[in-house]
Amino acid sequence: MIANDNDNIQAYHVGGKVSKVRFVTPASYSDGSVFAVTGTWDEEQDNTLSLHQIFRTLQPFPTSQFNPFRTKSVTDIKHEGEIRDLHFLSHDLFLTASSLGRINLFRIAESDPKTQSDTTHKIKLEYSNTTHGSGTGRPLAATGIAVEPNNDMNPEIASVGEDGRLVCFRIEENQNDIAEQIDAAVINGISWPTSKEIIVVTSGGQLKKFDRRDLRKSAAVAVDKDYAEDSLTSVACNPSQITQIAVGSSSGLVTVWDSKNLSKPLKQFQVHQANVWEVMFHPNRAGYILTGSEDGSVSFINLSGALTDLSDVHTQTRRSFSKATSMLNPLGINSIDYHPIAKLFIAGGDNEKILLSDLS
Amino acid sequence: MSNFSSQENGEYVWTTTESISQIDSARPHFSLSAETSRSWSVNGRDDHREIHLIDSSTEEDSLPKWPDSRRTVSTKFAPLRNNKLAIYIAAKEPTDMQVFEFEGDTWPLDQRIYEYALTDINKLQRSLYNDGYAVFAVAQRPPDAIRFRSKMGGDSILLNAHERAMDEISAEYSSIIRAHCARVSKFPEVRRATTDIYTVWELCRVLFMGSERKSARLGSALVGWVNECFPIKEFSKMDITRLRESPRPLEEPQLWACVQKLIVRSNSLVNKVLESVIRSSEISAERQAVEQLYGYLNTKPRIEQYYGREFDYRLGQWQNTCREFANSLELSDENTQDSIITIVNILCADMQTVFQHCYSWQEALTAWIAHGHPNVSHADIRELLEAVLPNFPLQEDNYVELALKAFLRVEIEEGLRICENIDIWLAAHLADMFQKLKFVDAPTINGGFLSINNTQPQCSLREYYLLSYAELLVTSTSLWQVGFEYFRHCPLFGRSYMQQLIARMPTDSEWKTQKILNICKVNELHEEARIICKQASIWKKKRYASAILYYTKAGDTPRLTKIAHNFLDEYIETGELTYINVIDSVSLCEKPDESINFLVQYRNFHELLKTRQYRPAGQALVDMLKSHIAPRRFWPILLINSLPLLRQGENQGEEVVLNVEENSEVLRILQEVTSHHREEFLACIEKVKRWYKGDRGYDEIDDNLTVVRLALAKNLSRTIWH
Repeated sequence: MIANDNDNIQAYHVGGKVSKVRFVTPASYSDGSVFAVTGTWDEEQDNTLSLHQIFRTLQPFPTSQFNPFRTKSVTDIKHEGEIRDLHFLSHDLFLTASSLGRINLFRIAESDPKTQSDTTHKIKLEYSNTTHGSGTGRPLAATGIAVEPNNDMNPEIASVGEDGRLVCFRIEENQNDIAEQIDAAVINGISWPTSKEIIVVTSGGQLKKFDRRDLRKSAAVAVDKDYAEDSLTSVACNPSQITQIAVGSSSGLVTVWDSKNLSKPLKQFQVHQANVWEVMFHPNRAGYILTGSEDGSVSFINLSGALTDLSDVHTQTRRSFSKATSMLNPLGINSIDYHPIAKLFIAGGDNEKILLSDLS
Repeated sequence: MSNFSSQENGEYVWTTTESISQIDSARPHFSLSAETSRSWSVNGRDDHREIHLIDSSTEEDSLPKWPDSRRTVSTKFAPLRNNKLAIYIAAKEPTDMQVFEFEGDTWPLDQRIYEYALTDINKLQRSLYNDGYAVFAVAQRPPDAIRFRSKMGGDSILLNAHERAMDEISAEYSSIIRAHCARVSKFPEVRRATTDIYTVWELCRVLFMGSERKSARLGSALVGWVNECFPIKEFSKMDITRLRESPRPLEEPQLWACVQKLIVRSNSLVNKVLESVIRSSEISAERQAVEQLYGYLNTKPRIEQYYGREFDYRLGQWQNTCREFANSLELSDENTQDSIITIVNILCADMQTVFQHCYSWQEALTAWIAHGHPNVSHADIRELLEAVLPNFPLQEDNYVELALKAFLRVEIEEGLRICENIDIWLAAHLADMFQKLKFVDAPTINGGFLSINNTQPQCSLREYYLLSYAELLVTSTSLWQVGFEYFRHCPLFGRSYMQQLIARMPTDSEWKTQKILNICKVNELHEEARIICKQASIWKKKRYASAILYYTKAGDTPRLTKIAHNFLDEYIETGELTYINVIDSVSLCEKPDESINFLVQYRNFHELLKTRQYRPAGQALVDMLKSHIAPRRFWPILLINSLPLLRQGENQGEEVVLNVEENSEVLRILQEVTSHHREEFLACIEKVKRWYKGDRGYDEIDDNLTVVRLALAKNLSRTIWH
């Protein structure tokens, strides 16, 4: 299926191939602007974390040249290694997973107005922990971060990596609680839907469910036998229906599983032609999934059948998903996010740009 | 250590006798092929540059076949144009790249000469290259699928659908270059480089791509180009504003020079300046003269008002009126008098006057066109240019000037060749547009890798420049993906370039390997994908699950067999099933590789034993032996593994674990192993004896596996009894 160019998608240069993009989770959304953080990959030396401010431009009579957004680069900071995952703990604290096997904690701080500073905000490194590949002599990338749900005070943090390990630690206790070799292949993604249950996906094509109380042995393993040789590249759990898991694969499939019954998938969509690098459930609309893929497109999947009333997605609609590309971004999309209050969709990829679009 | 020296003949030669085993993968440079990993350094003009030879295609096992003395690599460097280096590696062809079989000790030499860019792409320039590709990708679509957000106006009625699409494309390129200029405005060097690109691009757009070339607006389009790309140097906007706001403009010493310059440039601001002169001056003969001049300026015939010859006639008439006005002028202020006469001379296209008031040939050419030949056609420009050029000093080392001249003379090939020195991006994208608009056509240039025995066909200019550009991108740490996209649009050599380069892309992570494999998938580079999978599993030493996944994708049966044998050997040595974790992490398709399949079956057999499912375990064991899926040196182990099963049958006395047929099959195998392959068998048993404990209800094992024989005999009699 060829996706149509979507004129509603706007693109902005960010100066580096974007491996991850996340909106700053807002306390509120009042002044018409939102913040987003991007992380880069494939820079020879200087991979960076950048904070961007996105404004909605108000224009009474939109024209064809009308650009509904304006972006401003607020501040950036060098990051050791490529950024493989980015996870917000609160509105000013976020974690990154680095290709050098480390988990870093950063804080976004407002600059002191007394000091003569060019920027309104600064990003500061607060904490760093080597979690992956340290025993093998060369660093192996940390690929995913998940945070213990329902524990805002001192949550446990779980990370997975190319070394096949799952590491659990708390930031305040400066050591790794558990570092378990849970897979012999590469773990590509992790999700932590309930305090007991951790889900990971691997390059060996497996979705593994673990009980947090015993990580030595997986509680269940799911394999899609029809596509056993595919690598699984991304995972997300439905926040409003925690047994529902969406998984993206190297061949462009998006598969939905029920974590209570992993014998066969609930639903499957051949959405993309290449690796699905990120899947996420729409936070406002239960039963909708957003994806971004190496084939350069983003998609919007309706789990309950045909798409209806998606006036904001002017795209080719077939069956139960719609797909959009942007002429401005012919290369792969590595990461996506959605701002539930501003109703804004963001994607970042190898064209060194972020893409923005309204999406209800 | 290595030496890098400059020879008398201008060649750089570097040789080494050492091989450097440490691969510096933290600097993911473009790698060149060689049979072992080495790294050498080249001191470039600006800063220290390194070229890394990464062990791209050699497999561990093939290394012993290379005597140490043969690992010596000598290389020759020769500087090329555009800050590039040609490198010849006196090495053997990497095994995976070899297309033919060879015999004995003679290995084919690597016959390629590689190009390496000494200058890296400026990070700031990357956004232009990225945007440029987005437009380029659309330009390759059929005309009816080309659609941009901003429709271009102009005389698009003069163009057919294809030309209109190209007009839109060229406008889109212009807008991305302009946007890039704005982005890099704080970085003078990059801004200058981008402005150079823009100047050449805009001229080509006016001359060859837009609707202007087919309409009477060509002259005014060229004037617009000069005004945009070569802003007036002598006066700033501030100066003009100051003049306009002056209480006594006629007394301003700069007034007339400024008015003359604005008229040379056909700049409409001149009206505003004259208006303010009229407004602020007292009634006088001078003011009256200015009023008259203002009136003439506003009645100048415009080209769109008249059709064909009538315009020439009207213009001539108007110029005569102007001359009459100048001749009749009798002002007391000599300066004003002379200045107005000069202005009239410019308006009447007096060649010497026009040239005197221009600082560059570009300005002079367009001023002369604007005042003397407003309806200039494509064919006239060359003649006008040749008349202008002798009046101005030429900067022969300025590539932008050279390129502009070449394009004005419609010497497109020459223009492109010069553009290569400005920015290869410019040359590549102009060449693409020129070919689409049929300004260049015939295959002219040797493309492809330079080869020692150069017998390659010729490719088009478009492809030649696209290949050069794409090759530069592939060497960039960040833009390599864009480079491969460009290769896809090179019909003749694109594929072979991809084949040569993709397997040599350095990768240090799973993520990047996936990206590279996807490029292979999109371009159907199956053989290269296989090579990459092999390489990926090499750097995954001891990461067996990943290695199995990659080797399975590569269809590399020997490698899979070797991994399986390693695991089985480990079991023979220790009696431990160390690979369970590995096999459990790999989801296998229905028909996995045979050796891996055996690992799975053997693991399942142990699982059955553990869960006390003895009858199915027995069947599984016999299946493994009968189907010959198990390697022969592992047969003794399988035979020993039958002991707990047989003992179970003995203890329970009822359940038949092996039936008569199965029993005799196992016995047959036992016979075969102990008598026909005795040496192999004994070697295995020796190792087993170290860890096998006789405390499993049987005596210790001996060199004839007597315990198994006895157990089988007992089982046979019991089975017959049942």
